[in-house]
Amino acid sequence: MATYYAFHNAGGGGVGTFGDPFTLQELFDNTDAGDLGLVCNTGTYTPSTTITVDNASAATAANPAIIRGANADGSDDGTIATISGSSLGASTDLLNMGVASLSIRLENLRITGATDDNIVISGSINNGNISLYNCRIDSATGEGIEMQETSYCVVVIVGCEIDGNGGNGITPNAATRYTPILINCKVHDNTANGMVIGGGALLPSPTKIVGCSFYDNGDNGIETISAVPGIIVVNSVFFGNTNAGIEILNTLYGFVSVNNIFRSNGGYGINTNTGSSGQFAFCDYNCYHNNTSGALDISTPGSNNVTSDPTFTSEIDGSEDFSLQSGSPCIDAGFGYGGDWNIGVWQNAASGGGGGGLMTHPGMSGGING
Amino acid sequence: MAITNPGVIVFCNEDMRPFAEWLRKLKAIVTAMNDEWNTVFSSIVPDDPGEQLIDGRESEGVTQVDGDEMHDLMNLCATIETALSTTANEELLSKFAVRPLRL
Repeated sequence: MATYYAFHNAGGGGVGTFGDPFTLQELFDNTDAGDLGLVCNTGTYTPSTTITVDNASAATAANPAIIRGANADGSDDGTIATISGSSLGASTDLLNMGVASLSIRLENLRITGATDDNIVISGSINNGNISLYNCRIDSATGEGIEMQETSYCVVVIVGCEIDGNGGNGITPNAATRYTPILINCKVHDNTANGMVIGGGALLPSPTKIVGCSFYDNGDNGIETISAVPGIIVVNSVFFGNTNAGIEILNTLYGFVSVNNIFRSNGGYGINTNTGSSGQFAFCDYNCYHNNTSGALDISTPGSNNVTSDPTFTSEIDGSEDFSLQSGSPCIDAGFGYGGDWNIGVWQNAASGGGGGGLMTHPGMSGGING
Repeated sequence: MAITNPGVIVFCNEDMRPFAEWLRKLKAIVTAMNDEWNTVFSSIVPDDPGEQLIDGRESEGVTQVDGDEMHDLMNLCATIETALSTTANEELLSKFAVRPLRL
C-alpha cells in the first residue's frame, strides 16, 4: 500500500511524497487500489476545473482507493481538508467520479461551493463502490451529490453532513441505477429536497437510511420519484421540512418505516399521494407530531405509534439537537430485538439500562461516532 | 352542523393550514422590512420617479426601479403588515397554524 500527499499549492509534476507533493488532481490520478491519498490541510484546495476521479484501477470494495483529509504536517489525524469550488467557472461540477469498477472512499473532506454540483457520480461504474465517511458536502449552486450512474453501483454515505446546496442534497439523474445507503448523516437546509430516491427506466436497489436526520429542507425530507422497491428508513428524524417528511410520488412496494420521528413538517409526516397503505411492508413504531397537514394522508398505519411531542433537546434553527429529553415518550417506545429501543436518532440512557436507540449522531467535529 | 366532507377536510389540512403558516411567516418578514425601511431608508430614498436606483443589474436583464416605485412597494408592504396584525387575523392564523413560528 502506498501513501501519497497533496498540498493545496503544489506546482504539479511532483512524485507524491510529503517533500514533493501532488496537486489534488494528481493525487486522484495516482491513488490506486489499497493506496492512501492524503489531502494535507495546507490551505483550501480551489481547483479551477472539475476534479476527475477515474483512476483507482483494479480497486474493489474490500480494497478501495482512499482519499482522506490530513493535517498540514502530513499526520493522518482526522483533520478535515477543504476542497472548494470558489475558482471554478460558471456551471461547473467540483468532483466527477466515474470509471468502470471504480471503488473509492473519501474521508474527512469538506467539498463545498461548486458552481454546479459538488459531486457527480457518473458513467457506467458497474458493480463499483463509492463511499463517503465523515465528509461535509455543502453550498453547491446545484446538487450536493448527483447520481448519474447507469449501472449497478453501491453508494455508502456514513457520518456525513449534506447541507445548504442550491438543489437537492442527494439526487438521481433521469436514468440511474444505484443502491444508496445512508447511515448517521445530517441532510439539511438544502433548497429543494434533502434526498430524492428513484430514477427513470432503471430502478435502484433497495435504499437503506439509518440513523439520519433530514431537516429544514426547502421541499421534502425525502422524495421518491419512481416505483422503488424496498426502501428502508429506520431510526431517523424528519423535522421542519417545508413540505412532507417523506413524499411518495409513485406507488412503492415493500416500504419500511420504523422508529422514525416526523415532527413539524410543513405538509404530512408521510404523504403517500396514493391513498393506499398497501405499499408499506412495515410502518409502525413511529412518532408523528405537529405536522401541518397531519401524520399521513391516509389512516396512520401501525398500532404502536407515538403522537405526542418527542421533546427534542433543541429546535432552535442552526442549533438543532434531536436528542430526546428525559421523559420523552419516544424513549423505550421503539421496535427492536430485546426491547429498550428508542424512536429517533439519538442514543439515550433507556430505562433499565438497555440498548436504547441505534447509534450516536454524526458530525464533522466528532467524526463518525459523533 | 359538523363539516365532515372529506374533500373539505383534505383542502383544510393540505392547503389552508400551510397557507396560514406561510402568512404568519410573511407577517414576520414584512414587519422586519417595514421597521428597517422606516428607520433607515424611507427618509433617504427620494419618492421620485425620476430618481433611478443605480445597481448595475440591467446587464442581467433585471428591470431598473426608481424611488417612487420603491416607496409604492413599501407602502404595499405596510398595508400587508397592517392587515396581518389585527387581533382578529392574528388569532385566525393561530387557529389554523399547526407548527410554532420558526424564523
